Amino acid sequence: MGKLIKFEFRKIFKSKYLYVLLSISLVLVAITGAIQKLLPTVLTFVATGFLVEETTMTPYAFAKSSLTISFSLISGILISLNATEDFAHSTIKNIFSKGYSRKSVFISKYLVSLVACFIIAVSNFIFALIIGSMFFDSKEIIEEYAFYIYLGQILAVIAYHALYFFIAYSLRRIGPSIAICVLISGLAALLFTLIDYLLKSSDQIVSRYWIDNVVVNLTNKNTDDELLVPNLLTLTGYIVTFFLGGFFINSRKEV
Amino acid sequence: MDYIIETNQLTKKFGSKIAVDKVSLHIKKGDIYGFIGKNGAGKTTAMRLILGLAYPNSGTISLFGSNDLNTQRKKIGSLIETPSFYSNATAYENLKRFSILYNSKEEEIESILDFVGLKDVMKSKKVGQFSLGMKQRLGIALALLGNPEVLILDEPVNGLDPAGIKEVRDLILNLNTQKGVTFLISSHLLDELAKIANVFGIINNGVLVEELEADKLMQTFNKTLKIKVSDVDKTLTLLKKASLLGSYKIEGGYLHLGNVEKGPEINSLLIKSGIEVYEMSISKAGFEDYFIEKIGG
Repeated sequence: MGKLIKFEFRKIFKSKYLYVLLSISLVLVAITGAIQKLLPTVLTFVATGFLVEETTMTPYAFAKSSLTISFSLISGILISLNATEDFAHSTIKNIFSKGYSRKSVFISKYLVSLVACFIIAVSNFIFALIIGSMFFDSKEIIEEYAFYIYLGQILAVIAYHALYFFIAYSLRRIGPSIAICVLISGLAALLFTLIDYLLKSSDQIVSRYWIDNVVVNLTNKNTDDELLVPNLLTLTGYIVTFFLGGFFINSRKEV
Repeated sequence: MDYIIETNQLTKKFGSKIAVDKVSLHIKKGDIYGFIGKNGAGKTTAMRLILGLAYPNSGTISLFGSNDLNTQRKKIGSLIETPSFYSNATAYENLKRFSILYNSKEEEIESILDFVGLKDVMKSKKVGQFSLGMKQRLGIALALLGNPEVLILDEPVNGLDPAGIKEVRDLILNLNTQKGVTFLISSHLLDELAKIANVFGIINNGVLVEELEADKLMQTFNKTLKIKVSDVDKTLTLLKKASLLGSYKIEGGYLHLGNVEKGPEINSLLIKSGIEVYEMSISKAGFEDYFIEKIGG
């Protein structure tokens, strides 16, 4: 397993796409920061004819929201490229033919791409904090549930990764994998909304449990404490389901 | 007898099609095993089963006398179907990556690439820009990485020019004689395989038709007296009358006679009878003829 992990790390750090995607995600964070800084001013100016420079955003709040800016899109592409690379080039047969089991190859790819996702997530967070400090008021309110919110952010990264890795490793083809990873958020949101519409229940809002909405809930400064634990459990459920699903579906696939 | 690779009743089905049908291969240490068969006969599938790229429906595989296949596969180098590499990396970087998995040292990479004639481009050219022949050489280089005890090569000379084919042949013979490396090689170039293999396995429609040693195979080849004469019909009548006509066939304007030992007598009779003999030689049925006969082609 150690050799496989070393092999995967060498591969990903020698690949240009990691650095290109990281750069794109940082640029998107900067653009989003600039828009959030300027947008209230512009809107107020348009509405009243007066320039207003104040904004309610804080550096910490902006950093916290960095996961919702581009991480989902960027990590979907990153994982698709990384997880399908050996299948696309057929180099996977060079690995399996040397007696490395499908399970250990799955786990090594899973772990290394997860590390890559964290690199992007943490870089985005730090960069957003820097951009936020430049653009927004640095007065912060210490949140009551800060620990849980951070935990939620970490779980969200792992959950997004588990979902995209499951898709990419099962499809084993770069193009379809990227397409589905990019579209899945929108499609799943639609599906969950449709379920809510059909259920017509005001008590049980199913769409609340879609991964994107869970992340938004956890990012919100005024997160409802009643929803905190269910949100964390939902993310854990996504992680376990998609990891085990990917692991068992692919444990005996031929190449 | 201990075999390095042994399969017992190995079977692989794809839907209703049986790609490999109860194949029992026996490869001894030091063998160069020539695995021959038409396209789609089941050679590659059998090799893929041995390497763990596909799973058999039934039957067993034993490697180095052990059933712990994944451990034993670490001692095997392979080149299956087309060579596969990271096209956006150089030859050196490709081997460097795989050296982590193949228990190989960095120093080995340069010497192997030198050996297969890719040293000049190993750090300057991406594999995606390689010709088919260069990729094939790199595939052989990868198979050699980590000093394997057995090499499984599927059509290893595909895409190589005559000089390249000779280099690969010499390489195989050198590794076999000097380092005792065992080979399982498939190729459609029968004459090429005949030059190096000491054991042959003939597979047809997934079934292993025959497994025999090269020495025995050579003995089974039939000799014929191949003659070109001015009048074939008159020759046949004459030979029949003189009781010199055994089995015969006419092919490509030549008369092939089975009784080779009567050559001088036949020659003398034909000349005395006024039949012009343009050519007379002893012809030996080739490996190709034997193969076609075995697969019923």
